[in-house]
Amino acid sequence: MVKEMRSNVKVCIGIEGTAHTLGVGIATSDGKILANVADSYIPPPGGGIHPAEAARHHTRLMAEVIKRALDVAGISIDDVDMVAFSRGPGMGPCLRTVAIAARTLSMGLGVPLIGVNHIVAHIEIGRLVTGAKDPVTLIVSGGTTAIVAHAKDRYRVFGETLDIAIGNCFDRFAREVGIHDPNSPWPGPMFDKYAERGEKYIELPYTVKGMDLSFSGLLTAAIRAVKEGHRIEDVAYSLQETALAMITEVTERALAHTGKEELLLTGGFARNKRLQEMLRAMTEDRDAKFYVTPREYATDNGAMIAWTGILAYRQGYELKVEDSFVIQRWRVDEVEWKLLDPEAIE
Amino acid sequence: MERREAEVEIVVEYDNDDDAKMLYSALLPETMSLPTERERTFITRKGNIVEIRIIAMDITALRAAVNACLRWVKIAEDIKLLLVKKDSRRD
Repeated sequence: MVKEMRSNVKVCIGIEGTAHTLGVGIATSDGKILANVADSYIPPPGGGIHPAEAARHHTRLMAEVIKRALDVAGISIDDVDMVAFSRGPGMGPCLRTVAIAARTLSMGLGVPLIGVNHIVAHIEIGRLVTGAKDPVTLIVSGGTTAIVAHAKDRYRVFGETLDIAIGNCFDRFAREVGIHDPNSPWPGPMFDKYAERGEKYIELPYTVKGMDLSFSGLLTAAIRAVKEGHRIEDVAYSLQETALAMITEVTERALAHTGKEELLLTGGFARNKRLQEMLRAMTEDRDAKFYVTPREYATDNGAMIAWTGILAYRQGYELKVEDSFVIQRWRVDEVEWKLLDPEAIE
Repeated sequence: MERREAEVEIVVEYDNDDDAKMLYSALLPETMSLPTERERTFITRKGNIVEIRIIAMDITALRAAVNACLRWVKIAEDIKLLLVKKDSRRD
């Protein structure tokens, strides 16, 4: 079946590895995701991601995860028509590991090599799987908090954090006040449990500067509130209410400013139920459509790189191997990008 | 104080020029954009032999660079094995 498809449908393998997740996805140019396999580096409990350790994890598992993706897709490696990789932004050692794998694969197969911007990929897979056409996208994760929308010839940032990301803010709070689960490397679920049990709202600094956000002062104030004797549950709840209200405010203003009628939520933090609730209420008030990217495609994943690789290839973004160095700091608005309709691509 | 440099050379030898070319091309972009000034990595190819020379200002930087470099070689080799399997499946 795959062989028959090959006359016009292209198969792209995408490798994601900007941080702790190594993901391999396989997508076709007619918008089908054939595989989306991942394996994540687990940091020691209470610690954060060590870039060289994450890169070692990616090195050890790269070939195996690629094989698993090919098995899931039911294709062989020589069915692959192009190779895409997460070129940035991200952690240097992780990006380099992925880039070397992608270059070797591309040269060995004799197929095009495509470098994909990780943030563009988050938006594009969200558009593909939810059906959002031209949304304002809120990307929230451990490393990113940005409100992005397409305007003219690229995705532009309408608001973003000036310091730490929302996920990082909650994680650090949990670690600082000692509520992480010793059996889980990620403090998020534990934070959620505490925040749910909060009853009393404690006033914390609400910092929106123009269209941008700042969480570090809020984090410091929340940690101080715990040290001053407030219940952790109440502080976690207040921290969550304050931070998410800030995000919702800026997102609403981006919708108003751009005049767009769709909101797309994505990133590893998109799973936060309270954030979804606030955004749903806000979009209902505005008669805007609200799309939440399913978890499999909202966290870092290979499918988003594979699919965006196809879109990038359509726009002529094939890389020469010698020019395919990674870009650790690569803003989404540096990429000239057309808003292609997934259904209009062959 | 006298500043002393440390140096390591990694030599990878293949049966053929093509494999050496592939490793050389996969690694070359990484040697052009290194994250620190404490070390430099140079890569050259002569026929079927790839030579990687790492010069560092101190042992810590050297160790980090050698580890990274060996990781790069391993990943390129692992990927090549995937491709080899493809060829043998066809027979």
